Amino acid sequence: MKITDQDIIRTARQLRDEDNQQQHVAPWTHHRHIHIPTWLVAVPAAALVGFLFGLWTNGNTDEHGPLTAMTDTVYIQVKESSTHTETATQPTTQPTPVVTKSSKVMHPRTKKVTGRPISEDQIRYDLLVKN
Amino acid sequence: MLIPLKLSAQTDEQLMQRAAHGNERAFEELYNRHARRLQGFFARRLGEDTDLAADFMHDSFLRLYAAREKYHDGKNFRAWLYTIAYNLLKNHFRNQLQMVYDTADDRADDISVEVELDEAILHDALRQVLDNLPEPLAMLFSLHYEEELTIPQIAQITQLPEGTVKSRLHKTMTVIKEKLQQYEDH
Repeated sequence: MKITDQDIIRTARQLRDEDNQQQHVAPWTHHRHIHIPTWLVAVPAAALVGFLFGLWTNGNTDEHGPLTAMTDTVYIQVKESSTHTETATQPTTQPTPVVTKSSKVMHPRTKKVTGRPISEDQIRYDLLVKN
Repeated sequence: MLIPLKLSAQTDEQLMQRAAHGNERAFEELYNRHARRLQGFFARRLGEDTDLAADFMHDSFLRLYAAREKYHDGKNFRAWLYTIAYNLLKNHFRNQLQMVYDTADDRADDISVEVELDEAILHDALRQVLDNLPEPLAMLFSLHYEEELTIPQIAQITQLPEGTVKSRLHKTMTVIKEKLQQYEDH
């Protein structure tokens, strides 16, 4: 038969359809990334940024803040007035002095007057001698 | 009350308009409509290298996806898609030094070639002829007769004057017939 342009075009389209049928095409979802809503990314991202900002600002105040703010627990050493400590530094037994005659304690010559107590006007009425 | 049209009932341009406004399903619908045909086009142009054809098709749609926001109303979708595809092939052939730009004679040949062939033979003969057709002519033949793009669209895609496209298409048909004559005796 005599081949016309239309025969060639029709046959070319048949060949095209045969070729296309043999093509294995992956679905578009295979190519693209999973679609995540914007808010689902934005909200945790904002929270993370806020947390990091908070850490940063907190770190700054610590640096210039009081010492107690930088520690969890403050231990204060308190000195106790304990007798044990003092006795520990001293000898447990003191040397007892030997009592000798020479080392007798000399009492003053003026013997302390004992008797009735001194009155309010500081006069010992009991020692007054009657004339 | 306005009832939205099903995606499958919408034109390519309507879908592309939706995709440009961020509708992922609309773009997926476009992909489902055109991916197989575009991959077949690449496979014929690349010599049945199906893996490379799949890569080129994938790349074309990724480029289209990346540029979807640039789509404006009235732009023909298929012309845009095949412009991307044509440029990918052009770069590919240029890199492989296979693309030959035949500008020696753009005038239509007035030679009328007559071929007489049995229809059963035509099928296989035409496949062999098209496989061995020089690339610039094969590209135009494919865009016009296989992908059914209009001459103005092809002129836009290839950036050739419409007259040049017409004359080259006529020349292509003449070359095909001349090559088919070799099969007359079989």
